[in-house]
Formats: sequence, structure tokens, C-alpha cells
Amino acid sequence: MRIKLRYFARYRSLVGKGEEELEVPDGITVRELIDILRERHPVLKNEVFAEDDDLADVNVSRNGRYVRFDEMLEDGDVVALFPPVSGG
Amino acid sequence: MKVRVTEDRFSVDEALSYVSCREAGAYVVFLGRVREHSRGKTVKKLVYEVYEEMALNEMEKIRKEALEKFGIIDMLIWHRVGELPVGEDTILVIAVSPHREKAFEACMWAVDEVKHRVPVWKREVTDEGVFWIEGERAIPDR
Repeated sequence: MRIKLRYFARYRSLVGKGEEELEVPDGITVRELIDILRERHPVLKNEVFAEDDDLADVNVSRNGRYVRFDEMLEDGDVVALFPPVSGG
Repeated sequence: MKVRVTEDRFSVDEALSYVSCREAGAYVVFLGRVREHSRGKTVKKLVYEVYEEMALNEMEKIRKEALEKFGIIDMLIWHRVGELPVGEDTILVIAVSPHREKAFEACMWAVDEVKHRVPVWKREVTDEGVFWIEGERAIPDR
């Protein structure tokens, strides 16, 4: 299945682009997608996921809503990765 | 428009016109602006970016939650994006209620929720360099 990825703020700057499309195995979870992204973008692995279980500061949304890491993805989903927010 | 993300300057009068009603005796207005000093550094400007579709969605959720949680009549939440020098407006929240107590509480709550939930990020351009602000952390921009 195909997923559209979006990166914001410092993550966009690290990856070097704001979005990309990716072919991934059917029915993977958000956490499994992140594992794929770790390998695809070593800079994320080094700068964002420095420790094995360091997902505390990573926000993920699916189709514009915050999502849990164990949620299953579907074809055509838009998944965004972004750091803690700082509006106001 | 009761939730809005915009590069344009706010008009507080225009904002009030969207939430004015005859039952309301209290309008609490919070207007955030770019401050000159942050974490011991002199700020030149803030550069805001937004995930707009999701930000509008979250702002509308916060607005509806505030109406329900505090029993207020109405609420407006606007946020600026782009490059904002010191002194520029950044956020506007208006809570509308028959009496002031609930309006103050709801306004305070909503500003905190925006800061925690709405996908907006700022970079601080200071005299000591540029920093990404992520929650409470400031990370040098390379």
C-alpha cells in the first residue's frame, strides 16, 4: 500500500523535504512505519530517534489527527511526523 | 471565522464582531505578542510554521471543548504564521460568557491547550543564533 508522509519544522529540515510517498507492506502500524523511516533517513535515526525507545518527543498524526503508535495504517493515509509544538 | 491561521495582522475589533452576542457580559481577550527577550537572549523575530489543515482542526476541537467544559457562550482562536518581528501579534483567544469567571478560566485553558496541541512551531532568531523551539526545548538550527 501507499502512504504519503509529511515532515514539519526541524524534521522537515533534517529530512530535506516536506513530503514524500512510500510503498509499505499492507496493514503496518505507525510504529512499524517509523522503523522503516529510521532506516530510510539515517538523519532521523541519529537526531530524532537517538535512543532505542526515544519516541516520547515524536508526534505522529494520521489524516490530520493525533494517532497512537499501535494504530494500523491504510492505503492512502497521510502520516505526518513532527516535533513537540511551540505555538502561542 | 472563529478559528483562523493567517499571515495578516489581527483586528481585535473584527474578531470581537464574530463572537458578540446580547447574552454575553464578559469578553476575555488574550493577545500574545513576540517578546524581546527569551531564555536570556535578545530576540529579533520569530518564524512560525504550521500544519494548516490539522491546526485548524485542533483549534476547532479546543474551541468546542472549551464551550462544553466551561459552559461559555462562544470562543475565537486565531494564530499568526510567517515571520513576526518583536512586538507583532502571534495569537488571539477570546472567551465569551455571561459572567467573567468562566470566561477567564476558559481563555487561560484554551491558550494552554493551543500551546500543547496545535501543530505550530516557531524558530527564534536571536542575537546568538537561530533556535527551533520544541515544547520547552530550544535546539540550535544548523
